[in-house]
Amino acid sequence: MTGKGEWQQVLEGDSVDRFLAAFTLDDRQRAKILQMQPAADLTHLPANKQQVMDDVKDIWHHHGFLTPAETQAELIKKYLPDADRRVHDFIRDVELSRNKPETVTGYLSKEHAYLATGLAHMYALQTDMAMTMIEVDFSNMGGTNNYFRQTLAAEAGVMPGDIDPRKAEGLTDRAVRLLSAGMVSDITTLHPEERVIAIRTGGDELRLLVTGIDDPMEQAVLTDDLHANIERRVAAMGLQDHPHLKAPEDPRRNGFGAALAVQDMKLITNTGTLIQELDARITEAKNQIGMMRIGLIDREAVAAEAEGRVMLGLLRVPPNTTIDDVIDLAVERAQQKAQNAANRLREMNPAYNTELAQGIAGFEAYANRTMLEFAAYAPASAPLPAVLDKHMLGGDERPPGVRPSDSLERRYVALALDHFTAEGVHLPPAALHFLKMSVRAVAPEDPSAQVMMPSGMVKMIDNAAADAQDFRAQIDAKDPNIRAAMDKAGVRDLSNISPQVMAVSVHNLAGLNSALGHHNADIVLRHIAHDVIGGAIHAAGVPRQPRSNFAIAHHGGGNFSVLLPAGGVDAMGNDWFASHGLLHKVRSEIKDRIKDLNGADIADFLHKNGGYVDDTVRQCLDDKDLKTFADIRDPKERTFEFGVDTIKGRVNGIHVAVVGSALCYDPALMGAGGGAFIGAVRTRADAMLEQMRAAILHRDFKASENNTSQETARAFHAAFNARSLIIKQGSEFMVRERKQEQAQPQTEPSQSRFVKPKMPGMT
Amino acid sequence: MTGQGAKPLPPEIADFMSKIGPRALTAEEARALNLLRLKYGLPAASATGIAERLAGKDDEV
Repeated sequence: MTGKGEWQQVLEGDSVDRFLAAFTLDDRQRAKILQMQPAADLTHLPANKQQVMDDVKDIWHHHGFLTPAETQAELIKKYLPDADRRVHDFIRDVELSRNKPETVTGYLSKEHAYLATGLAHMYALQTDMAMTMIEVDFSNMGGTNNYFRQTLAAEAGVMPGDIDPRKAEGLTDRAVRLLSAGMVSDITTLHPEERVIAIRTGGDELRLLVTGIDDPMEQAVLTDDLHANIERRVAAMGLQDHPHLKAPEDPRRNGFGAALAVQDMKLITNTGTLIQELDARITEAKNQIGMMRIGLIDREAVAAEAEGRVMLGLLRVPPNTTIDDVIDLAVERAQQKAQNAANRLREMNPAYNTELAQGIAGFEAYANRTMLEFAAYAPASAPLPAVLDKHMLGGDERPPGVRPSDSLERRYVALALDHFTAEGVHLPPAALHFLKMSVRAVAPEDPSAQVMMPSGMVKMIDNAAADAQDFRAQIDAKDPNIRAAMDKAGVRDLSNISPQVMAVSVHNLAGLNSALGHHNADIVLRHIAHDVIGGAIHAAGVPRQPRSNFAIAHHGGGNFSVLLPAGGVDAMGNDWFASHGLLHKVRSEIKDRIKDLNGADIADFLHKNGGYVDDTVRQCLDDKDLKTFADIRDPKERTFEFGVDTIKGRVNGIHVAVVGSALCYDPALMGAGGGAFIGAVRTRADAMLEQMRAAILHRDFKASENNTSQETARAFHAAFNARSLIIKQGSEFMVRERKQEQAQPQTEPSQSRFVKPKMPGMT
Repeated sequence: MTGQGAKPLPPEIADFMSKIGPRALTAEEARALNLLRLKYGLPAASATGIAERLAGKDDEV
């Protein structure tokens, strides 16, 4: 149905497949190891994925359902029966360090979302135990940020614009934390015998995987209990009434909150549509709750529920009455209860709540007191071994034997191997294999795009910056081969050789999600990450090298960043260097590939890449006139003003903006860093994408109106130029850093640990 | 690979979802799906259930 291979009927089956495959040792791998170490004992290592799955089931049997990191630690322990205790402990600590709670919610972070979900579905399908998935979506976090900003401003007697937005966001985060912790506490209180794995899957999305609870009535009770407690807590925080950021005129959408859908994982009939089904259920829950907050009910929903209860024998039809009478009575009672509930909730609003009358201080007092009352959620965790717990692994901190162009993963592995050498611990082949597997995961992967998480990219950029001077120092510019490579790259002297950073902003990921569903949109997202961006980089001349620090990170939505090494050696042994020209080639190649994607048949693409597509789906695509990706509709109507003209419209299809820059900051300078650098490049890419949307709509406007007015054109170009200024503003960070560096006295070269390029390239 | 753990979904709901295909549901479809789930006694958004809990005597927060 979805995905490729044998786990295709499993939710996030691709993640399960990759997880299981990582533990298998096929005949070729065995032969290779035995050739080097004939005495190696490999008999206990699994030869196929089913063997690993059987071992996972054995772990569930003995330990219950575990987090992915705990599961991986248990598998490695099983596969290394004779390894040194120090190796066991090290690997276990590395694995459990990945369970470090996410800072806002205290849940596991997104890197675990897909594998945990896939394993939970396997647990439901392959054991006789129940597994329940609870999908949660917060409401109106943007409007809540505004509310806190305004409240803070009113209390301080200043304008909202004078309040640091991060302060308001911090208060919204506390409200998120309270509801998140409350949900786990509620579940563990109601079902103390069950295990909960809670994950923050997105900015405003959570997923809880709970063992047990397989009775529909129990699930319905849990749904109502969780929703009711969320409502109580929201009201007690005084966050029930402020306007919605995007729909301020709709009172049903006022306030902060969260809604959820409870799903029996044995009852998933289509993994390709489950997430959008849950999203729809949550949307409807928000609608129902929003009505109830103002004392209204959806009479048809109440009637359907009453009818269902009669059919299931939970509601009796008394003698001399009809089912319609029973339903009418249920509706009448529901209306009264909704009004009573609304009144009760209102009593908890600031005007009636003593504690909340203190404003922000009252909110904080309530949050602090309530958090202490919740049952703690703490999945097994451990600190990362000290030898690996380092941000800087480049420049002076680069491990011995690691080259300036080597990947982050390789740097971590080198640190771990050095550690065991120093400890005098011999690592047999299997121990080495699993140690490397575990340590590599220290740089986590975004599961939707299957590329690096942003945190790893920040670290890579900082290390690449620190290594740049060392890389240049290794180059012998008099070598004719080096000169030829420099000529080919259009680089005149060594100071122009530098790592390059790119930001790639892709338009219409929301349209892909809406038109094709999350599962299929993920497949397109991975294609964009690996074949469009990765493929473009390779096509432009950057060779595929296992040790390279070339990396792509996904920043959510359609936002990616890329780090290109300053250079390297290709498979033919030829040197190559990154340059301004290379960035131009990559950008051009990315645009060509996006153009190809827009021309690709959607159904054929999904079929080829393991998406959810069958005859029904093909028919659905035909019904919506969705032939190629150029037909993907922009869900948002956009408005641009050009002088007296206001142009509204949708920018359909997939579009991309690419901004590149030589990596040119000094990590030793105050306020500089990979995060700020990539942030500045991404700001420029986002601004460029917005400018591109405006240009597309303007082009369409001219075409549709046959508008040749010079006045409109002038206004358009004026607006276009104004947006160009925004793009330039995004680069101020780098300009400022360059100025700061230039201001350093020449007599203090140690302040700057590498020579910046003379002409930072920008495409 | 899925074993025998899977349960069947009421055919009316399965048919409803299969006709929608891979795309996101509209607000009207989300409401219709919720009505179907309520009708079959599956966990769904129930204003009645939440209101019952909120309007009751237990208002501890």
